[in-house]
Amino acid sequence: MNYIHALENYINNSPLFIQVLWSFCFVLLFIFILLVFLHSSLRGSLRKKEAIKKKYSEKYETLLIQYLYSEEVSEQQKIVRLLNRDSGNNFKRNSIVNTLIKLKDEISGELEVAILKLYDDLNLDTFAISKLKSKNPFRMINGIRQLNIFHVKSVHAKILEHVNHEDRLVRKEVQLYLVKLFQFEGLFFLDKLEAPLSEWNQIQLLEILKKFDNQDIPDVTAWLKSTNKFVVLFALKLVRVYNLYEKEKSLIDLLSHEDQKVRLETIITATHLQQLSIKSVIISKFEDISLEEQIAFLNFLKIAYEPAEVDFIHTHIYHTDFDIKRIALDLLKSNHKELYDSLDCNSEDKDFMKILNFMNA
Amino acid sequence: MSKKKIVLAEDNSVLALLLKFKLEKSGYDLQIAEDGKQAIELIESHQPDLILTDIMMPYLSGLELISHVRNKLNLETPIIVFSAAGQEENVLSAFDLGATDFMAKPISPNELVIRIKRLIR
Repeated sequence: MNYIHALENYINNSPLFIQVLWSFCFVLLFIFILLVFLHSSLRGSLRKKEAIKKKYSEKYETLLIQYLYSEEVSEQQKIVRLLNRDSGNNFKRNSIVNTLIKLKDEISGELEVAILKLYDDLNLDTFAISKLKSKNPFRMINGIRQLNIFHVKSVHAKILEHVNHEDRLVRKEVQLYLVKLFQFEGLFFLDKLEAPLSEWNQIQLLEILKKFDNQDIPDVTAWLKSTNKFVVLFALKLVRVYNLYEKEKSLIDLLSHEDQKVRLETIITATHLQQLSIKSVIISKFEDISLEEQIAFLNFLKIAYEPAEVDFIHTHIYHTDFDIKRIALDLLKSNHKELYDSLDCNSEDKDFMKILNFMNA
Repeated sequence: MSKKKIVLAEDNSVLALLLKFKLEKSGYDLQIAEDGKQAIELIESHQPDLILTDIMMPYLSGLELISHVRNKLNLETPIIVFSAAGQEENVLSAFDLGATDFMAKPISPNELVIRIKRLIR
């Protein structure tokens, strides 16, 4: 008591500045103690939640294994009833679904089929389908992903409605669902796609398509004519990957596309397929196309050069662009050595001389 | 006749539980390790007849585990590696380090039992 009294006296007799300082220290101390308390209670509650999660996860893992290896139908039905009862609770249902997913991705054969059947028997798809109506994109993604993992094909029409969703991650999930479950047939979402299709999404879709045994690709003509440039770019990738030589006419049409990237990819695709008929079309409007397209076309000539194109090449060896000049000179040297040797070695064009000296070295 | 001992290094608890159930039913004694570090402890203390290991694991990967078994412990115990899609390079490294066989995930437990029987008759 004496200490408190002494402290009280000390503060009362101190100057105002010291009193304010002490009050400030007490407030800070109080806040510090409060934060420590909040922190420890938060950690405690998280640990508790984690322990509950682990407990249920272990319970459902054991039940799942018992279900998969049970030899009696009655025992399986008992487990289904138990899981069905628990699936009414949000937290427990999530734990059941997570357990099923954890095993589904790791095993194949009859056990995988049994897991799909269990998911169906528990009517867990109804909860996943209900997430499609959510305004939260992450809930929607979760729902679509789940329907994809458990091969729920019956809701494809509902999922297709979100093909132009404002959130790109939702759109990606819709595309993955359709292509994984319906293979090449799933690509018909491209008919309805008005939103962008990123390069990464395109690569992912192609990777999935490559894995299917049936490689009968549908007709891509309509997609090559799409008003969505991303659909056209993806269709061009399909033409390249699946060597669709019969799309020559569509490629020629695309050389007049309004988007430069599409025109460039068309030249790259024609190069890959060695579609010689596009050469005359490009040569006729070579000066009107972009520099990237010009370089891409000259690279095409490197693998599909014909002697009749000598005048075209010769006119470009003094081009203002270094790369065009370099490729044109390279083509001339490889195909018309005499003409190349007769070139003026005292040109004032420094780049021209630099390339010539390098090539003659 | 004593049961053949197998150590399984797998961080997916439900897959580990499933394989334990399946392999014990097939007459093997299975010890489960949640990571590579635990697996090494189990291998040193149990001297198993076969080792099953996933490639991607916390603390110590499947590749480090194989290297430890072959180079530090100098054991010739057969090792089957589990690999996921896209880990082809890791599978090649596993064989370079001394793995005996590999199975791509998703795995078939029945096929695994057949491979184990072939390796430890």
